[in-house]
Amino acid sequence: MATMFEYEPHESPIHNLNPVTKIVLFLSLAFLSGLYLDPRLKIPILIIIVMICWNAKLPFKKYSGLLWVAILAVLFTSSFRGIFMIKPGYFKALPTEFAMTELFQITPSDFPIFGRTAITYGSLLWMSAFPLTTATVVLAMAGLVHTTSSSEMIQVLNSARLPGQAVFVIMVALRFIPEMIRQMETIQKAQQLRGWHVESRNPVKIARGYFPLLVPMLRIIVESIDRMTISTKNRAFGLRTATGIRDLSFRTRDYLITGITSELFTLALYLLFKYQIGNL
Amino acid sequence: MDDAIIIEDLSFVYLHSDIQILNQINLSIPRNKITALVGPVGAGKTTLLLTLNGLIPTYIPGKFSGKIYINGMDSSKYETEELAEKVNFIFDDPVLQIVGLTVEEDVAFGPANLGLPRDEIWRRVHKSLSRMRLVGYEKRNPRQLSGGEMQLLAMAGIFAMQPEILVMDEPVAMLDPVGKKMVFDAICEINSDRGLTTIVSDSGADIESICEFADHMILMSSGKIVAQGKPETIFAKRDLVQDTTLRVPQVTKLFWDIQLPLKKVPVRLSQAVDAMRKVKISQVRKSRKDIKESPQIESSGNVLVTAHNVCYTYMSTPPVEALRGVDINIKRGELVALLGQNGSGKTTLALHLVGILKPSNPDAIIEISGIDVVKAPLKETIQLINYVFQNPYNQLFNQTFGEEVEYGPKQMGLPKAEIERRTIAALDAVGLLELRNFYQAALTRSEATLLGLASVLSMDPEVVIADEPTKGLDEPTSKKVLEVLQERCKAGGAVLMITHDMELASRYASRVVVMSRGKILIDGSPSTVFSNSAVLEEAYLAPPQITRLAIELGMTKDNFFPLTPEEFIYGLI
Repeated sequence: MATMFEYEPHESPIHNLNPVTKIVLFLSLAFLSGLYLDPRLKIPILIIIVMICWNAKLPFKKYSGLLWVAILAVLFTSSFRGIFMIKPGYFKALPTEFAMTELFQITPSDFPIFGRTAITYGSLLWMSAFPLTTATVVLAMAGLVHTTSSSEMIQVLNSARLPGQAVFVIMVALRFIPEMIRQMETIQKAQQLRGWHVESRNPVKIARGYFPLLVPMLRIIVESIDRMTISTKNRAFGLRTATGIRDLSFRTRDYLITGITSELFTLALYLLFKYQIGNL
Repeated sequence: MDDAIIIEDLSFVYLHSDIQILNQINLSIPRNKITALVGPVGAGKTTLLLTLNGLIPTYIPGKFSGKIYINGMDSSKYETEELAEKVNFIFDDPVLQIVGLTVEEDVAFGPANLGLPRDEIWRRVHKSLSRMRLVGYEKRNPRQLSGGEMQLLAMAGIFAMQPEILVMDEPVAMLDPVGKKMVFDAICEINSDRGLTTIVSDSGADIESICEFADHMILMSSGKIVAQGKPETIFAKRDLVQDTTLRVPQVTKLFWDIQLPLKKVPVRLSQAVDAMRKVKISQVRKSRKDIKESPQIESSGNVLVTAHNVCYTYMSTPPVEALRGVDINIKRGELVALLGQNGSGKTTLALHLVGILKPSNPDAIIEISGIDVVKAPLKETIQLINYVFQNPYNQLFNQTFGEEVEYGPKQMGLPKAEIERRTIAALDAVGLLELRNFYQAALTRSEATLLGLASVLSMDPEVVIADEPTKGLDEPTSKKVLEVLQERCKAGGAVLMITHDMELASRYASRVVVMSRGKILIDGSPSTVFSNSAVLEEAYLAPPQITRLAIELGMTKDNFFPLTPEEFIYGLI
């Protein structure tokens, strides 16, 4: 089974799209989710991404750990900011009365250093927006990599006249990241067999506990980068413009999806900047 | 003779090193021949090969001097990717040579970089995959392939570029015997089709395969060329070869031991057959050492490991049924060699026994000393059974040798005195006690392997699984590792050793198990297994070279299946 951020061939409608179509589709959704602050619009975007990834047979289980960690980390940082957003000036699109309705107070106004903090409807919406964006971006990137082979990606990048070094970096990343994830799994198994486990809840102890994994991992990363560079040069990468091995001509569905996505994206941007639809 | 490569006064020292790894090398490589570059680990073989396509000094810096001419071109005037049109390199580790995310994409990578037309690229892809026995694997993720299959894929990718000069650094180390033969057959076929100059390096692990195919041989040691010429001529210089500690073909060792005055010593099976047919038994003298049968360890009878009906399917695309109802027992005192072609399920079985993988079927039984491995937590089972990984660098992370070996017992929560005792015992067993306080910063492969072994031995498991424990090691270190594992068995433990090395298995194992396609085909003593040619053929294996010699000479009629040169001579006289 493919690991995280790794291409896996399937006969799915998403796999069979032109890579340019997939780039437009996934990046538009991710970008839009990033621009919107209103979670009530982010949720449908996330649902669309999940449905697309489900259709493409993305192994969601492989991403559950990463998603939980990323969402919790983002929630923690956004919450820390959100509890201070108790003044009306923060929210331009939401009705002030609604945005300032306090759900519960955390600290009173005379609390040292922080002063008054509270969760309001406005700050609650604001705090929940970022985890939704995180999930959307992670799944969008995962979906794009899962459905697009490296040769297709390189072909698209070459035809976009990207510098050779940039193409090389992207190619190595596509190959390298899943390999490192696999190596981490192997190292983890090897260390578990020596009794390694992390049980503490102390963050410092947890970080130190992962040392037996990190040291072998770093060694492997350095060696791998060297070896991969040598291997690609050995196979004439960079000698001249590589031949595209796939026929990447656009078909009707590619024109349709790219066109609709581009138009909807433009419309969404217009509504956002003109009427604050998607803003808080 | 027309030479494809000419090297003049080549010297090289790696950056931040004082060791002259290549020392005034002068040699020429004949065109359209297979040249074997042999020598012990650390002789400078890989370094020499890396200079041929410009990787040294362009990407691997150091103090470089000398000239290299590739088909008459001064290689210093070209970039590596330009030289890649003429010279291609196959590394020993296939994982990082593979660039594509599917098999067919990877093979197409090289021809695509050469700017060939699309039709030509796909024609070469299909031809290469067919040559390397990988038809049907086109859409697979290369990481789903076994180690040997990955090496075949790496070769397919290089063959698709149709180089004029092929440089291979220990390329068949991970392949089963049939895979090795297939690679060399492919090279010979390409050579006869359109000519191909091939240079293959070997540290001794595959010396028999290399000698079967090499037209020309270069023997290196300590950065210098010690001898070059036909393999038979080089191996006739017994003292010279022995000084390098290079492993020799079993048939060569046989003729060394029977001490016949020969100018050329057989290095191939066919040569040994011809030579033996001319030998009179009265001419065979004992060597200075007594020739006797290799001692075998006797099992004490208690069953330590029981596995019954173990099934496992990898949920890849398509799913791969790796184990199909495997039954195996291992007794106290046994050193079991687990053999099988690449992808037969050996490592999958081993990972089940050690508890890392769980069977797909609920009725599978895996017990170690009565403990159910399927249900018990890892922290309970690691004290009973443990695993020495093929790549020791997956585990090594501490600063010093001593700290590394202490880690396992510390994690087990043992008292300090016991940790100290086990650490000393484990380091002493592998010969690293004096390096206890040394830093790990610049470990050699041999040291890393021994340290990895010691770090498992210090946990004192009853059963040790060793995955290709001698891979990449020189002869003395290989012998050391096997002796340590044998001692383990003598002390009442058991060892399961996964290996492709038939000679190793025949010499050290008390029992041999052969797997194929997820099932066990045969389980018995080395002589029982290696005498069963039908089963070995089904498993894409071959018996040790000396056994095959006895078979060719018709000496096996009375159930005489020698496994070592010593046994062969013992049987003769």
